[in-house]
Amino acid sequence: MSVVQKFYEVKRSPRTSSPLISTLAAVTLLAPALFIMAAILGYPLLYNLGLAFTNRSLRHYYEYKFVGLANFVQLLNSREFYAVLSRTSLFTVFNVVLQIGVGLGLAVLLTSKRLRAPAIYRSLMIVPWVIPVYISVLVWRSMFLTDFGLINQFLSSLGLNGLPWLTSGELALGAIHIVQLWLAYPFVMTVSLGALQSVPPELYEAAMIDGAGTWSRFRLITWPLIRPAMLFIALLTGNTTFQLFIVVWFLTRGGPAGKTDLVMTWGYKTAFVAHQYGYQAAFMTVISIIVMIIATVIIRQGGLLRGMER
Amino acid sequence: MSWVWLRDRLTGVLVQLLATTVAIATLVPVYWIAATSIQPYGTFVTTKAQFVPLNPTFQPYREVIFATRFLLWMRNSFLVTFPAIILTVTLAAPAAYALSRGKFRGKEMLLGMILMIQFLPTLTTLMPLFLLFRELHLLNLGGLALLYIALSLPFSIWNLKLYFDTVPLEIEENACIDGASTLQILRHIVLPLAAPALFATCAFVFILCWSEYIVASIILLDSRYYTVAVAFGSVASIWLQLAIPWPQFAAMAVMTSIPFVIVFILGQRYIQAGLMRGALRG
Repeated sequence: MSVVQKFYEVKRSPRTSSPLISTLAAVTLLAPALFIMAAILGYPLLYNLGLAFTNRSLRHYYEYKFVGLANFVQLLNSREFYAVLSRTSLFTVFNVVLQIGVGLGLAVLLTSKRLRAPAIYRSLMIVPWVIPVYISVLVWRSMFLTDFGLINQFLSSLGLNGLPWLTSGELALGAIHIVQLWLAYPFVMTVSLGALQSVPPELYEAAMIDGAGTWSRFRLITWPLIRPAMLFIALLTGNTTFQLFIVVWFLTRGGPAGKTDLVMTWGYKTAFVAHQYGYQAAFMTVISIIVMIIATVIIRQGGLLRGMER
Repeated sequence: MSWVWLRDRLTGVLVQLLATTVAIATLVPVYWIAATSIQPYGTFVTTKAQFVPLNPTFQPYREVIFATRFLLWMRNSFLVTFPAIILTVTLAAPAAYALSRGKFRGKEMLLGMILMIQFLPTLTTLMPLFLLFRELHLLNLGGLALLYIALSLPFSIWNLKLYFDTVPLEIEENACIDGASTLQILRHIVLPLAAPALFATCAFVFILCWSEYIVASIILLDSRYYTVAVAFGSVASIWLQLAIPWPQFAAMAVMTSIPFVIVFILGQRYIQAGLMRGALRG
């Protein structure tokens, strides 16, 4: 029995041979939504691809011209591009591992029979999810301030020296890691909880009788069963982490000296601070292709779409 | 026997302690902003906040409401959010129904495309849209609502489609035999049955509109048309560089979060179910 059926308490009905609605009706029902998506998402995507081959910028706003692959050549010869891309990739992998470690760990903790009042802990732990991101990031910023920040006040009350959280490159990246972990773990935890609860308890009982310990129960029963769900979480949260913007923008603006610039903040600066539209279009084309390829590979290899079709 | 008992008790205490520590660490920023919002500005001459407010006051709230454009920004946010919610659901529900019940060539490909478009970085379409909307004079609240609808549609369609897939076909088939039209079936049978999923979609769109920053910061140029998100960004970026009226900042943060928290609590069950539906299949 799938989780969907548990949640909605409905049974999946058997396949019918004849479609319930005609092709004409289906197309009519689809048309308005498809039109909006084509106009607001599809057309700009093509427009972006076209812009990538022009020198359009604030200076050449109207009289821009076709420049061939010049933007791509400039991009692939720019050291900054590789620095930003590798920094973002490393950040994403490291942070997703952290998120899944913490999120799944807490989900296991919350399902533990020894924990009293798990529901209360669960509601408290999803609080970061319930506050608009731009607010929590600004609150974190205030806590990271070197002179008056809560974190340094806490450190000095322990007799330790305060740290220049937002003004040193490495520490600033660490601060971004902390904030993104804080923001993302409730989602990972919640979905992991659902996955853990979908494991049939009989399996554990059988393993207990066979004398399997906690760790081997997790490794041999739980993990294989929750793996598809975890892969799906990694895909979703990896995508949002790769496209991290608000956290970086509100904490450091990519500083000091561009040391915390990730893909999206760098792109944002190119587009809306430097106004290099052609160059930015080339950059986003490359990034979009990379993202699409990785997402497709994960979806295909993980069989995430299996059984979704009626 | 007693050793096992002791070990079990110890694990129990450790588990409880660990959960409590994580919960406290998680809540510190939240507590701090709430505590700051009820402190008088006078105690902030040193720009140092008290962890436990000694002289609680609602002065910061009064100042934000009466001395800034906060209420205008809230109104703008609602003006964008409500049309976006209503139009997204109106467009997504029929489309999702067609994708669930219809059989036509290219359906699988269409579903795949709608899924993949969600992974497309927002900035890819945002910059061309900025240039296009500028020509079309759509750099305003209407244009922003239009963008939010387009951004919400892919997830909403998939979510509703997966829900419709779990609704039994028999009722619709009987109605069909009795001569009801597709629209009648959709309106009188399918949509009432899909109420939880529709509610989840509304909550999803609300959360997106209320917490979205990048798109809004590009589309809205005039501070009179700022949504709370953009207002927050611009006000805070000034405040964070100059002397910071922390209590006012905190009061604004608390008031901005309230609608968000209400919707989240109301929709929590459905939102989580909706997310999990994507993640897990039996």
